[in-house]
Amino acid sequence: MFKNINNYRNKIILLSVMWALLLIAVFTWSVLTGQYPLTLKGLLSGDTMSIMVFKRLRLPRAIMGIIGGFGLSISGYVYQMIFKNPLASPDVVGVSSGASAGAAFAIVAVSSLTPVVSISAFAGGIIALVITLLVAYLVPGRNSYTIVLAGIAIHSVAQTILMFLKLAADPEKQLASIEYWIMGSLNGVSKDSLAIPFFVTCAGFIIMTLLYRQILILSISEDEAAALGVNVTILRFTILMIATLIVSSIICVTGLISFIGLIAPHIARLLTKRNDRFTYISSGLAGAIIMTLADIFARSVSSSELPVSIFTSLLGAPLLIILLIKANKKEVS
Amino acid sequence: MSDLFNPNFSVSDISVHYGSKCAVHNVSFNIQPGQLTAIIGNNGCGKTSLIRAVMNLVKHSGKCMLGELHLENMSVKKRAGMISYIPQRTGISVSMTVREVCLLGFNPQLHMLESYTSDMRHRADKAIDSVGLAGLYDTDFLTLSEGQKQLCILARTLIEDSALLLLDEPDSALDFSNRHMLMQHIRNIVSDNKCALMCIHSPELALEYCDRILLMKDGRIASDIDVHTASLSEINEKMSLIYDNINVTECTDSNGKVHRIVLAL
Repeated sequence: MFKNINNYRNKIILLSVMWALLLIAVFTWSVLTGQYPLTLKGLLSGDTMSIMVFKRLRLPRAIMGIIGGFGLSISGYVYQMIFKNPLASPDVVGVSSGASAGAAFAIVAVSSLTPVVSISAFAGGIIALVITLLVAYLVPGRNSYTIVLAGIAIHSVAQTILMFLKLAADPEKQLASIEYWIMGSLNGVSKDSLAIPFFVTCAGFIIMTLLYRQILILSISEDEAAALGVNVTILRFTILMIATLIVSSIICVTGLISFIGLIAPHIARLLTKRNDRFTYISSGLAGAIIMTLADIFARSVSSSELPVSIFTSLLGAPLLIILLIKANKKEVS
Repeated sequence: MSDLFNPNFSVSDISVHYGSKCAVHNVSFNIQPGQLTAIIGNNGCGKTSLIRAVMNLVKHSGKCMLGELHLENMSVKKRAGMISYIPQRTGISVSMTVREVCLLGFNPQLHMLESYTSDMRHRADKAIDSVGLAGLYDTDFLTLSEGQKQLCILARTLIEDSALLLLDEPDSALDFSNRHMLMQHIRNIVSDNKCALMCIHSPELALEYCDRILLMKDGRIASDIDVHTASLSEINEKMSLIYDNINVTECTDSNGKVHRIVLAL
């Protein structure tokens, strides 16, 4: 693809144009996809029903697809950098399982209403992170691997709580609600539920972009990072907190969305071959496109809506495999 | 950038404990500006723990002074502006260009949110040129050979321009020629206003490139060699305190320069 482009700036320009065109295309496609046939002509002619569907259902959902994919991917990118682990994702610090347990708790013990489940999921994710970091902090000689191990322990505890809640749930309604939440969906996203993920993701993105040099230094060994003037413990905690806030704010609205945070950063890296700010932003854009596409397929391949996570994996995995094969072929040649 | 007039580096009564085990026991020494000092000793003698204590990365007692400044009392950032560190092997595990790696050396001089200036980029390129990596500015650091990687880290150290250099076996991953090239570069950058402390395994390299050698055994400084003034018999006598079966001897190269070589018996 970039055989004749040696200059990285040209590559940035080309990729930026590609991202912009793809984003516009999937956004438009997302707005126009659904059970009610929405057309540009209908919208421009001022058809009341079309405008209501557009404003209340399609636009918030399309924006959530973009914001959700973007936020999960930049967070995944940051997790991978900080943990120096290409397989790192929100599960590493127990966030996803904490949020699942939080959502299940709300469904079983309080109410299945979306705002209640969202708040409880958000709280579950944050509590899991805080406990993980606290446990890691109490271990002498703590480092990023200690956080990973503490995260695995908290993940297991949260999974156990989730199992108990599933056992206690009413199999007719509550159990189905828990399973549906865990599988993730953008169905039911409204203008109101969009506000928190939108502002948290935007604010988190700006802060992490400004702190990008520090994130890059945190990806080096801890001794070297300290020698370069970075207060590793404080900065790592701060950045993990921001990334986790983004993830929690998104999954509390959408339910668990798997794979995007893991795969989009790799797609961006395979395209740029670097770990600079542009790659970080590109991973967000790749995630936004995959999530929106997954949501389009989730609501159009079958008469009933399917979980988004099925399609994020179905779309992302082949794309990653193709890019990996291409990159390896290039290296061999 | 180094703004110290007299960067005399002194370590007083440094001790490091890991649980009940004492890794470094009341170590004290002094390094003059312009002096490249080696610490040699067998594995586990406490060399790396000493370096980590100077960097304040492990809990320790005692104090480290650079000029009039107490290193333990400084913020991480201020200390980073005073000390440059070259590890055995860099922990960079993600793709970055050679220029990006070098630019990280400016971090202690920048505010957290500040960006690199074009002058900094220019200086980074000059540092890369000076260690013999000219033209590799945009090359992925991970694709470099181990020798080139250490030279790149050395270029980053040049950018930091700190008063104290700490080197933890910087030659350990290098082949014969890269090892000597790196040591020559290190020798060149230790100027009149810099002190350097280097852990190293090879007594031969220490005798060839350093001004002074601290011999470390069981967490203590067993002896001290002034490379320029010590006689061969004195060197042999002191080396025998930490190595059982070696003999230091002299040979002359084709240019008439005398070298000290170490033979294993």
